[in-house]
Amino acid sequence: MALVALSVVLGVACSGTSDHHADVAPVWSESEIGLIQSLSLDALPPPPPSPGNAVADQPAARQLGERLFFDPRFSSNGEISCASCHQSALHFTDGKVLGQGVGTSARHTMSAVGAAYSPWQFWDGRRDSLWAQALAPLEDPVEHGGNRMFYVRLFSELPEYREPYATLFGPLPDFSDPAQFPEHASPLGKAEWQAAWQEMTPASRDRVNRVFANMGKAIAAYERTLLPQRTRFDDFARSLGQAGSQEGVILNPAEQRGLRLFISGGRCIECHNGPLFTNNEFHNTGVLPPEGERPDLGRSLGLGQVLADPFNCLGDYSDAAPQQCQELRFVRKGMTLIAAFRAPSLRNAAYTAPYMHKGQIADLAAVLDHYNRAEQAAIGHNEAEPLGLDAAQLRDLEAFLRTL
Amino acid sequence: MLKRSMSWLTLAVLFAVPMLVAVRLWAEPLPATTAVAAFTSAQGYFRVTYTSEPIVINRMHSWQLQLEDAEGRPVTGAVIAVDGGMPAHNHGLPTRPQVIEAAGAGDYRIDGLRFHMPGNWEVRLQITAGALSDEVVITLSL
Ligand code: HEC
Ligand code: HEC
Repeated sequence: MALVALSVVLGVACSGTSDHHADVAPVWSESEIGLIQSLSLDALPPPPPSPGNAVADQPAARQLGERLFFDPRFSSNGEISCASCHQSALHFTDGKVLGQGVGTSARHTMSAVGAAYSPWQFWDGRRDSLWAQALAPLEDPVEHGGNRMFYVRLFSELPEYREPYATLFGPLPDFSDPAQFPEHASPLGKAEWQAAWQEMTPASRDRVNRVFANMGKAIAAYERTLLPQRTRFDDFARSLGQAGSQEGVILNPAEQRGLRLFISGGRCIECHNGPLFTNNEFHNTGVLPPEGERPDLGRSLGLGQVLADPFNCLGDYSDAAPQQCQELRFVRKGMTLIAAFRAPSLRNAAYTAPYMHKGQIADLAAVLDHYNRAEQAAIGHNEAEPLGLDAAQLRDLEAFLRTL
Repeated sequence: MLKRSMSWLTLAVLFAVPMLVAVRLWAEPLPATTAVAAFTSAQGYFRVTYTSEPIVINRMHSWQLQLEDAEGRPVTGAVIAVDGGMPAHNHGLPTRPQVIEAAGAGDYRIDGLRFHMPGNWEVRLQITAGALSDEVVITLSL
């Protein structure tokens, strides 16, 4: 075993040195190979169970959810769907600084790819499942801009949704009586929607909430299928340690040197670890607010919101038993959450500019410059420390990020 | 072609011995797959053995604890508070784990543990049983 690894290692060194001396690929130790392979898609298990969502893995729910994801009728102007901001051609992001729905989102659009693996959703983790997350943009006044009463009625009137819904969740309630179910109503949004919601009986509100939650569960079932594609990096990781391997061909020396910086000198792997290159945890990395804006408090506000969310794992609309809601039970509070944001996946990073929670960093070179300087945070404490990398190292690191 | 593979072989043999030694040395810190390890508290009042499934980064999991006093007798009814983190990074645990007493004498369970990066971690157990209070620091390298 050691011999195989050794000859592979020497193979890289030889092919590196034989051509030009300056362009040398690293010699990988066994422990480095272990780390590299821990980042490969070969090490990615299926998405973790979603105890709050009984239909999470049902094909019929997936199909229903996919249709909803792309359906712009579920918006206040009939033009915005999830796919307006999460575009499949752009790895389920939008290429914009801030999301553009019926208005402008408060933050930069995250990719929905691999989101099923995260215990927390959004930059600040203000939702604890994909299905609860999906309900938020629908009622966000600047994203889909509508309200749950309007959505569930529309949904119940469309045969393409009615029928699959009935098989998955049971027959839809009849929302046609205006005395019980006004045209627009929600506990959120416009004052008149909130007033109408207050006038509904608890039983009517519960019926609306239940269908609304189930729409989210179907969308989540679809999103669970959004997984990253294999890249050259995954082929490289698989080839390491295999006899007669081609790893020197799969990643060039600069990319391999960048990889070594990623897993050691650059300390990136501390937070961007696992096959999705994220630990899905909250960190303050000192990303400054855009010019003239107040700093975003991030997780320190998101935590209160997820605990109060009626659609969280412990809520009435969750299919989970309370003891299955481990994330909420053991959630950490405290000062380190100030201006902390969830580490995003770095899969497809080359194609998902701009970056960070407000889209405030335009390109990968600027991201690396940010980490290299690791300046003081506007609020809270920057966990990252200056790296002291030189220009050539930063170029190598960027070359590596582009292989993901 | 033949010449190249010959030289690989020679090199491989030359390096094999130091390489094998090196692998041993690197393996010295507790590997991530440690299933059982025992630690004594700062003042020697308690001894804690923890058992875990192989620890996987970013995965929420539990440990079984076995708590004994200095004479090796199981300690029941102890109150155990959990804290910890990565001393080198100056940050704590990402979760707030909790300890409950389990069925057997001296058996406890920590739920809600998660380690979110590779490196050296500490799990600190503040143990109070009767009039005695002491801290156990469990160190692990992931
Ligand atoms: C107007 C643009 C826009 C629309 C429309 C939109 N999103 Fe998003 N999405 C965003 C933004 C912006 C964020 C990050 C917001 C934040 O963290 O505060 C986000 C975050 C997410 C996330 C979190 C990913 C993660 O890893 O935490 C998921 C999942 C998601 N959206 C799915 C959806 C679904 C499902 C819909 C439709 C019901 C939808 N989005 C509609 C802009 C949009
Ligand atoms: C202490 C944890 C931590 C470390 C170490 C770290 N990151 Fe990050 N990374 C984050 C967090 C958190 C964000 C989001 C920050 C925000 O939006 O304010 C992020 C964002 C990014 C982004 C933007 C991704 C996107 O889609 O917006 C890139 C690229 C990135 N990091 C690369 C790196 C590289 C390369 C390194 C090593 C030089 C590194 N990170 C080290 C936590 C970390």
